[in-house]
Amino acid sequence: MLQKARKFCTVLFSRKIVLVSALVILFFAICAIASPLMAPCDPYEQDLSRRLEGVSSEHWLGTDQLGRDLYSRIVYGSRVAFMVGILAVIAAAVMGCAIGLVSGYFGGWVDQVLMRLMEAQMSIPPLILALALVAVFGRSIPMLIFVLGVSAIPNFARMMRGQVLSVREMDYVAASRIRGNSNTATMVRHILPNCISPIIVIMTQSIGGSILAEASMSFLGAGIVPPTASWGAMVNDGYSYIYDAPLFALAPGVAIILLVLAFNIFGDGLRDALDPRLRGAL
Amino acid sequence: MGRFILKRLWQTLIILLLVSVVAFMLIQFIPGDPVYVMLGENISKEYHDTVYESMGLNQPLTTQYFNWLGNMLRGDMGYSYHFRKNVNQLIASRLPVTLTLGIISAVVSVVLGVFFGAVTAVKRGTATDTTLTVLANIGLATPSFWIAVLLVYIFSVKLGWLPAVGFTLPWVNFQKSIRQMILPVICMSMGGVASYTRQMRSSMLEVIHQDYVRTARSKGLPENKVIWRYAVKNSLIPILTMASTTLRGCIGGSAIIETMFNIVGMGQIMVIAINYCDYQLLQSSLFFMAGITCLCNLIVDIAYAYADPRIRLE
Amino acid sequence: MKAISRILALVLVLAMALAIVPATAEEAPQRGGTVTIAFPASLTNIGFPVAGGVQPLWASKPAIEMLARYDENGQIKGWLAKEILVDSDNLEVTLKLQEGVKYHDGTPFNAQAVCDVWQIYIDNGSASAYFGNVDSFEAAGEYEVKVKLNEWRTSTVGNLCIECGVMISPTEFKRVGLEGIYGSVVGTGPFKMSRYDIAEGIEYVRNEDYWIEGQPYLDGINILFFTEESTGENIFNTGDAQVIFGVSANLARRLERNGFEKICNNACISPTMTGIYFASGNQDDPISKLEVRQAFSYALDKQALCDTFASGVGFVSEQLAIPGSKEYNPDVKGYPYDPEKAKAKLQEAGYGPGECTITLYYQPVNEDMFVAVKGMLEKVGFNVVGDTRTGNVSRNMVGTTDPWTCCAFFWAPTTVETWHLFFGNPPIVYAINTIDMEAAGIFDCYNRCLTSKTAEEQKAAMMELQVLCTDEYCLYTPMFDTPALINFSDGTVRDHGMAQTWVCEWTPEAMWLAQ
Repeated sequence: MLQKARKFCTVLFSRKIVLVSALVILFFAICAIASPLMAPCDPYEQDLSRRLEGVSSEHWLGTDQLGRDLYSRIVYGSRVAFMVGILAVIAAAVMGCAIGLVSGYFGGWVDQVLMRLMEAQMSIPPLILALALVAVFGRSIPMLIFVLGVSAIPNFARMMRGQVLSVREMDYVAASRIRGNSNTATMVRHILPNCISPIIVIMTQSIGGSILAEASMSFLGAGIVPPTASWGAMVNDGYSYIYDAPLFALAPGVAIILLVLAFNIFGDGLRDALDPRLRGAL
Repeated sequence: MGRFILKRLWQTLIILLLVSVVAFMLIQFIPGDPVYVMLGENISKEYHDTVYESMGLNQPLTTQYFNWLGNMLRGDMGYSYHFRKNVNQLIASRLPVTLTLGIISAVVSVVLGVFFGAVTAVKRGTATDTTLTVLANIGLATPSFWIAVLLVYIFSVKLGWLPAVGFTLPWVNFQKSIRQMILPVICMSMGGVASYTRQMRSSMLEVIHQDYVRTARSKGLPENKVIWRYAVKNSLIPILTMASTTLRGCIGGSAIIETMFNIVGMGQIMVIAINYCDYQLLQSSLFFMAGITCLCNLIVDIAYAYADPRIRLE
Repeated sequence: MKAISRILALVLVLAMALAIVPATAEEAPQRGGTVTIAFPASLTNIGFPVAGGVQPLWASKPAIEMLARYDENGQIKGWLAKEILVDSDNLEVTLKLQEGVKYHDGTPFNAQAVCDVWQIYIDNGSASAYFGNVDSFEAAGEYEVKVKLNEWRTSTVGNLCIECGVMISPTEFKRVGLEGIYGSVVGTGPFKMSRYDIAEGIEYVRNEDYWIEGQPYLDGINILFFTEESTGENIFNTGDAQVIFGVSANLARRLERNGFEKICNNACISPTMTGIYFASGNQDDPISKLEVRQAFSYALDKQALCDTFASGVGFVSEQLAIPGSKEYNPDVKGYPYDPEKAKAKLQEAGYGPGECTITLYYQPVNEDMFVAVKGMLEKVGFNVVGDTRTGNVSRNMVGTTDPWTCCAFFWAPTTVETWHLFFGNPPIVYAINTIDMEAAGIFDCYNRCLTSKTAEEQKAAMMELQVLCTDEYCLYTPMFDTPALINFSDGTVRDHGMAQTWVCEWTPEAMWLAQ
């Protein structure tokens, strides 16, 4: 087992870029967990007389529109990014995969009902759905996770179902059933592992996506409640000052791009490593 | 195939019914007195009550629902109090804008994405692959409005090459339309191109190792033919499932881009409808957009069934 | 020889100077062209007088004129009513109207039209606020309106000719009704509305039959709506609009730096006061305690807020008036920023640090201001909860009998003529039930501001009211005044009259575009 894991890691990190993105994710994760240690200032401490300042030894990236330390706010912003990004995707993936697996495996009326429901949701534009849900439930972090998670369910369900459909007729699935394995066992042991790689690609892609979705929601005024630091809201704030203090909009934007990029590349690497056929080729 | 299409049509009807319930219920839960939110706080109590009644808000929910659905089926989508216009009129003037932008962006996404994806997969491990993959990843990681600000700042404000705002339909003034569309289409399709590239790449890589590609290769077919005839064609199947998502994203997700470029399209009116609690506008436009998306899904599914005959037998 | 050449040189210089002078002197208006004005809102109603508000009124100005305008000294001068004769002793006001003025729908503008328009105001909720002291009015001739009063109020002429002086076409009102009039702009103005789309904007074209000979100079005026300020900034920067209306202090700074022409005047009547009002229908709520309200007021660093949110154009005031105006009482102590005093007051009210929780309502666009105020309050020991429900919802709550408490931002003009927003019945800007306003003598005092016959009496009443509401009961915390509107132009638009006399006033008929 240990050897297997070591081999997996060797394959996973054989490409330097995957290692680098893993390190980037790790760095942001440390920022999120140990924010007070990583941030030089209190992210909520405002000083209106020192707003929109440039780079200085005291404020590494300058200050925002209320004179708060931008760097510290970016560090604290990683908390929201991780929390919303990962939890929303996990929620969506668990619900979506379960739905897709069941739907694809059983087919028939179960499939009909689940897929119609998914399609009904999918046919509503996701951002509009999320905005309407926020209008109903109000703004808060758990609400945002829920709303973004719900919006992403059909992606997973449909992808999963598509994958299940294409492997369902494979010999090894039939063999498992003939051997008398239960449906659950067949699904979990034989179908799920063969469907997992595109799901992982989509998951890592979706973490970035939900970080971006959070930013979009903030942009339209339905994101995180201020004064909580969130990159999306910061880009939105900085947008108003793009001519005055370009760093204000750019820096949180770069943080978003970096983290999302890291997740995406890491996901790609993970996918390559998970794919048994590719592993042989490497 | 005919039976399959009929079945899908029937399913679409059920979906639309579900959507109508969701669209109807969703707005009922938005807090606030819709009349005051819609018309502002300065209106008199009498006017408030008149509008409240004329919107049918004093009737039970089920009556309201069936009245609305009945009117919808007769082709009357209701009246928007915020815009002071019939919803039919509103949608008729906004839909072409959103569809034009959405379809062009979706086509750009698919064509460029599939092409880049195929190239990266074929040239796997080379500098081309690395460059394109990294670019695709960056594209996917960049918020569309962030790119919009940057592009407008560079191309409109600094260089003055392209207009920063507005939208003209291509058949009204073609040249103006193209100039106005370049920036929004770039912003809207950036994510799509990137995500197709990624999906196509992983899908291609999977296909390339499949037996029939190996067989084709071993039969001595030219590599070009193997790639485009076998690998690309078969890699498109998972891509198909994404196509409707893309179109949906381009239509509904355009709200931000529409706001930034001051384009009056469907995304913008739906956001306004939520903000101003415009019951009939939100219900009807959600339902209408869902209808269009369902139509797209239907087409995609038929194409899917055509590409992968196993699906038809379900 | 030398002398002659000197004289010659002098003559030459003089001649050159003379040649230059006419070129720089007053330019004659040029004809033609269309001015586009970027406008920071999607107006849902224009044209309907009762639903007023600065933005709709401003945007309908090219088409709809008023009975009177303000002059440079803040005095009301006749416009559609060319003469306004006031007889305060006999409680009578006579208006002599411009002759030969026609509405865009072809109907004549006359005394009967004025009476019909006033009746529309009265029928639609303006009766008590503006016609409370009006006994009757009638057309005394084709172009003469006589108004009988039952009591003199200083605001009478303003009410009749400005607040309710927006002369829409009564025929149009009859035709389209209450609902339709919101989107139908038919007046006597120099431009006719040709298109109105809530999401896009308003287009006006030249009114060929305008009553002033030779005007207007422009072919048309377009008002282009935008919702994101950055979008508006781009529209303006790329030259797609010549004027941008009502920009934020933040954008104003930037446009000024880029060399655009700032159109804004601090002496312009009715700047907007930004502040926070207290509302509580519940005696157990902290906000019902005077000390809490005072602690709240002491905790706000108003200068810092002003510098941040109105920098360059705002000024701090501790009362409902601009320093130097007739409403300003220099004896009001107010609550200058003092965190220690704030803590002490909070202690006095019986709340330790973090024990006093208040809800602050704000609109999403003012998120920054909310965060800044929250930060200041929490520093002295308040616990602040934010809520973004719209003003409409909160107002409904205030209007009901349910106990409801809040602090909320307000934006309101500060002239005595507009104080009914605060002290009218019902008040619009804050909740009536925080204290018993009747018992506190506030209603009585406000009434004296309105009805006093001499300027001295009115002054005394106003001074008393300022002390009562600020030092005595702390009904609200004024923060800073801003000219309600800062406009910018690219320098090509002349004689626009914007932000010169009154916030809603401009002169589309005289406006012209320098090519």
